[in-house]
Amino acid sequence: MLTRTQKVIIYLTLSIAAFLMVFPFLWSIISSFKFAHEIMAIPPTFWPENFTLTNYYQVFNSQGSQFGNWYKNSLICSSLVTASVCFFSALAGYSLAKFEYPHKEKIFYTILSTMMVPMQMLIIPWYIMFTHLKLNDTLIGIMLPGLISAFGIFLLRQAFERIPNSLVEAARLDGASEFTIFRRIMFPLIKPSVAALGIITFVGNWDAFLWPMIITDSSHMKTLPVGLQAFAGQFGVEFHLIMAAANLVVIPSIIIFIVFQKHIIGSIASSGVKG
Amino acid sequence: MAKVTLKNIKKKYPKAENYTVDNFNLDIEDHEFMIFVGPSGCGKSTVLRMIAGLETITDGELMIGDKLVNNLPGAKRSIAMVFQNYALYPHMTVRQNMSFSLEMNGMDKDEIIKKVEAAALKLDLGDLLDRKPSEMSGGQCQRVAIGRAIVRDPKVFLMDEPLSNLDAKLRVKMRAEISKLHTALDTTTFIYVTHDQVEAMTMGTRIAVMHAGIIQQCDSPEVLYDSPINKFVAGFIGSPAMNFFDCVVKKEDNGIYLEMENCFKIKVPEDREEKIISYKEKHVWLGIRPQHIYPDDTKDIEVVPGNTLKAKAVVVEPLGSEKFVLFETKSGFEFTARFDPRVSVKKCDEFNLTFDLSLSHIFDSASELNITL
Repeated sequence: MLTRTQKVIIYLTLSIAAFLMVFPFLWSIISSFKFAHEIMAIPPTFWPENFTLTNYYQVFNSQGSQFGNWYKNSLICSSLVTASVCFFSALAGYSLAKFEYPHKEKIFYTILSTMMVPMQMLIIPWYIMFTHLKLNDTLIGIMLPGLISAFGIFLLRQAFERIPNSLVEAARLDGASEFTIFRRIMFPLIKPSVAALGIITFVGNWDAFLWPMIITDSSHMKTLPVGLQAFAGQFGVEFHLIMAAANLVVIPSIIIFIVFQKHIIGSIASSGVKG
Repeated sequence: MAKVTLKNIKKKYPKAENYTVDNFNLDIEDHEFMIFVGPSGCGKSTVLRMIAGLETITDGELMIGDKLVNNLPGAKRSIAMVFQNYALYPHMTVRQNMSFSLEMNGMDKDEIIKKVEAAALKLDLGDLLDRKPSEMSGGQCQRVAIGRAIVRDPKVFLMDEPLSNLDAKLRVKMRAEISKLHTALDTTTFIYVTHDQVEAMTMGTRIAVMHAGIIQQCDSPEVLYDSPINKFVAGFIGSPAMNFFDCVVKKEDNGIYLEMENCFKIKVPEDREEKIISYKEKHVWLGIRPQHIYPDDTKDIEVVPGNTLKAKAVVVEPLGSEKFVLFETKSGFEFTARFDPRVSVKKCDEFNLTFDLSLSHIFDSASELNITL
């Protein structure tokens, strides 16, 4: 049992940590409503002297900005990659958890071992390969390396492992086909884990910077994180626009997090796996 | 017609050295309530799962009715199964659980509704149809599992230890309900797996006692109890279990005796002498059920002089209707007796006990076969 003093210390420490985490985000939100000169003013102001929405208007309409296009590209890439990862991870995880076939364990550990290869090491081979395949500067090129995830397969295999085999056997005796068993019985039972995987994948792809930057050339094919660079030009950084754009960028991630946060915390806690 | 025939059925798992089920032969008659009973790992569930089509058959023939079903998927064998953990689909309501198999078999929606409601009525599940398994008790889940099986009108009803997750009181109630169900479903053959010999004795029309993948004896509960074919069956059937005394057969002038070293020497009834004379000077197992051991002052019991054994009560379990007493002889050998509740027994009391040898069994010490049959 914690004493009152201990509780006060814990809450105080946590509050300070929370404030340190939230403050930069809060600062960017507030700054996005300031004019450019006020953002750079010294001493800085916390609350805008003149509240404005111009920055948001300019994000969409300034010269060289294709913010709408980038948003669309990010949305398409993140959504399709998320759907693909959830679908294929569930199929592979189900197979690895519930079927018996030769070298199953070896296959699983081989899949797991791919998680140990850093992405930076793969980027050059990917780039050469995609150039040959003429996938440079295309949405498929951005998405292709992420369509299947070893982590996703691992997470969902663990989730399927926890479901008793007797459910599969009962469904087989009920006359269900193997795909019906997967679709109607097994998949609904691992929805929390799929939701967690979906959030992790979506947020990861939404924020992805290095690969989309390398594989895209033209401005209209860029994704949001890459596009934001446009506001940091040769002759200076347009902080007021970056602040507004960053706030717009973060909205989908926050929405998804708020909606599914129970699933992600529950699933990661129960599977004992870090995201 | 739901006769189930198992001919020379064998099962060997890929990495196993021995057969899990070896040369299993059994004819299960139409509408019979057949029980497979035996200790854990004896292969009883494996046989049931082979009948269900959940395990492949390594060798032998399995017939349901007149049809060879070795290579037929479980769903096409006209069987239904109740699993030990019920295997209800947790995300579906009772109604959806019960209608799933009918839906998979392409039955008309109206027909499904009718069948599910009829089964629900039969099992008193009417109020639970829209609940999910997590919102029900163990007994209710058990009834849903049975309901899910009976909506399919199976020819053969398979049950794999369906009562083992229930508390003692509910188990007794469900035992009666399953027996009633067997009577009600007069065209269905029941095959039931359990390790609980009380369940086996109270429900089965025939019981197959299994050990190490082999049927030891298959017969009615009464025959198994009164005439066990070997020491294993004798020890497995009956609660508390039969006591076994390691004795040597001695021939003396006035008859044949069984002698347990440092414990007792008792005379074998004359009508049994002929059967054990060939075991002279050899070791045998004397098997006596706890209710055939009495204090030597018990009324109506004829005590043969010398046929008594001195032992000390070490544990007394008064159950109300009877009393179980664990005795220990001077040499440290322990055995159980079942006494009338009126017999006064306290821990550490010494008793002169006598056996009713006419109801005992004697087993060959090597083959463990019953030589008194």
